[in-house]
Parts: sequence; C-alpha cells; structure tokens
Amino acid sequence: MFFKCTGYKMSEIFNKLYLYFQFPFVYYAMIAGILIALCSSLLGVTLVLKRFSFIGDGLSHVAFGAIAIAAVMNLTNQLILVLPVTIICAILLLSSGQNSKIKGDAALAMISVGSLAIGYLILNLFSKSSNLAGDVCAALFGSTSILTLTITDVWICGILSVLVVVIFLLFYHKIFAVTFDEDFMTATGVKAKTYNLIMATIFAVVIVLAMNLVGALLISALVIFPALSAMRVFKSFRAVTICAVIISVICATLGILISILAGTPVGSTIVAVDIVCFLIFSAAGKLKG
Amino acid sequence: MKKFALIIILMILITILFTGCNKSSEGIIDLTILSSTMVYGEINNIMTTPEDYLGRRIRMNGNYYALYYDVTDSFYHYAVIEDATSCCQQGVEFILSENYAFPDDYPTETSAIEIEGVFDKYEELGEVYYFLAVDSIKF
Repeated sequence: MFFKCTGYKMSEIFNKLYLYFQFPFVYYAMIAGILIALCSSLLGVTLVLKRFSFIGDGLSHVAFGAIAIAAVMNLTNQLILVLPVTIICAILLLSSGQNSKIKGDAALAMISVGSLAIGYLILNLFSKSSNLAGDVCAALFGSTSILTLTITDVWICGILSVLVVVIFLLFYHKIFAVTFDEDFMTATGVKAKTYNLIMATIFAVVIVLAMNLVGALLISALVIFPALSAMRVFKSFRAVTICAVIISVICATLGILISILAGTPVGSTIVAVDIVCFLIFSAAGKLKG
Repeated sequence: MKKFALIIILMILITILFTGCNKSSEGIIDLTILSSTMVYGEINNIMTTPEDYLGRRIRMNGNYYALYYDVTDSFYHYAVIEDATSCCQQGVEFILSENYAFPDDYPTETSAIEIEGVFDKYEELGEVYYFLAVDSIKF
C-alpha cells in the first residue's frame, strides 16, 4: 500500500515536472540558477577561508542601492550601472588593508547599511512604480525574479559565468596562495593586491548575478553554505572546492524544483535546501571523525 | 582541476544552447493546474510579451477587482494573482461576453474567480491594452 501510494505520488510529481518544463521560463530559471550556484560556490571557499563570509551581504546591499538608482533613471539594462558600482565597492572593500582609517568590518557595515538606506530612500522619493513595496520585496528576497528572465538575461548570465570559471581556472594557483598566505606571497614578489583585485571583480559579478536568484538578503547563504558543508567532510582546498560546486548546483536545482512544485518562494527554498545539506554534511563529518 | 573546470564550461555552453530548443505548446494555457510560483511566472510572460499570446485560449484563477475610470466612464475588470512571497501582484484585465450584465452577473469584489477565454487586444485613448475575452466565469 505504501509503495503504491508513493509510486502514485512520484508519478504525479514527474507528470507535473514534465508539464512545467514545457514552459520556456522554467528552462531559463534552471539554467541561470545552476550557473549562479556554480559561480558563487567557486568563490565561496576562498571567501570563507579569508574570513570574508559577510562581504556578500554588503555587496548585495550595494547592488540594491545601484538597482534603485537605475530604476529611477529608467535604465532598460540595469546591469550597465549595477555591475560597475558593485565592482568598485568590492575592490574598495577587499583591497582596504589593516592600515586604513576605517577597519574592514566597520567599512563593510557602513557601506552595507548605507547603500540599503539610500537605495530605499531614492525609491521612495523618485520611483514612479505603482507597487513600490513589491519592487523592494522582489529585490530583497528575489521573489520570482528567476522565473521572469528573458533569453537575453540567460545569455548574459551564461557569458559572465564562463568568464568567472575561466578566470578562476587561470588564476587557481594564485587564488589558492592568496587565500592561505597573502603576506608570504607578497614577500616572494607576487603582486597579491592584483589578485585580490581580480577576486573582488569576479565576486562582484557573482553577487550581481545572484541577486536574481535569491535576492539581496539571501546571497550570503548561497556563497557560504556549500563551502561550509564541503569543509565538514573534506580537508584539501581542491576537494572542498569541487564538493562545494557539486553541493551548490544540486541544492539550487532541488530548490528551484521544489519551489515550482510546491509554489514556495524560490530564493528561500534554495537556502532551506542548503541548510538541510549543511546539517547532513555536518553529521557525515562527525561520523567520519 | 583543469579537467573539472573544462567539463563545467562545456556544460554551461551546452545548457545555454539548449535554451533555443523549447517546445511552443499549442491549445489552451491552463493556469489553474499550475502552482502559484508557476502561475506568476507565466502571467509575467503574458504581460511582458503579450503579442505572443494573442488568440490563445487561457484559463486562470484569481481574485476579482473592478475599477471605474471617469475619463471613459467605464468599469474595467481584473483577475489579480499574487506571487509566492505575497509581495508582488499582477492583474489580467478581462471582458465578459454580452450575456453577462454588470453588476448583477459579476462576482463580488476580491472574491476568488476562475475565468476562461481568448487573449485579445483593444485600443483606447491612443494606447493598446490586452485583455481576456471571457466566455466562462466561475465564482
């Protein structure tokens, strides 16, 4: 009886999925979601190890502020403004050393809340939208933005993702060195600052892409959870990176599928799957010893 | 690591190429059998690319709202749907066939309705508006 029931439900789920995949926007969401999850997890390991886990949150708030300005300026392609602004802020945050007048965490907090406040203020004062609360909610929580992508958005997402993977590949050894011992790298004559700059740039690109998937407030989860889950079980940088990518892609796929089947918000469903995965990997790590 | 990355790049390129291979479904677009997240996505598509849906038969659920516009001295009728986070709403204008008299044969404001009809457009005050020419309504 149990198997009969389960079998019936499973076939119903597959029938639903078959029906849903007749809609092009579901394909677009899956492709963009997987690409964003892949890129964010690639960088997640480095950011967690460098103790920059919270930077995703700060930069996503900057992106929110830039989106508010782009919306008020009626820019058809908001990426033209959002991407450069986020990249500049990422460079400022990641390259500010211990000698700067405002220390790293204070600078991050300042830029983060400042951008959020200014963005909301600008939207309130100048936006002509009839659904301001809805627009803000969509930007902060992703809402169903990932299901409203056009084919052009998917292509932009694909090109930027390939760029992120290629840069990560080309500079893999340098990124590895900067992650673990920046001072030693500088002492050996390698320009650590340049690699920090490259990392800041690709991280800003990932943040802007991830805004569509999970929204500004949930981006950090997409970056840190896969890396932390992988670290529970694996110890080497390479193994953790590969495992984080696989975890992130699987969680994003499952999250999107569950959200379209159950009618739940996409962003928070993906993060919920990431949390469950983290708990499973934590238990596996403890069993492994 | 390089092999792994090459596989990733190849997968990205293949998946993007597959975006051009979507089926264009014919017949009725039945939104009543979809989850709320799917409905919001499809309604967004209808609103952003309405020309692609002209002449298509659509069945949908929503909440009924009526709006009076004094310039044209007319009532406009909408089926409104919310997204999963309940922060975004989209309304689809519908016009009932002449067999229905307003307000006697219309539902009460905010009540749940199911409508079915053909997607069409009209021009008013120099603007083009898209609507559902409804021949069947349940409330």
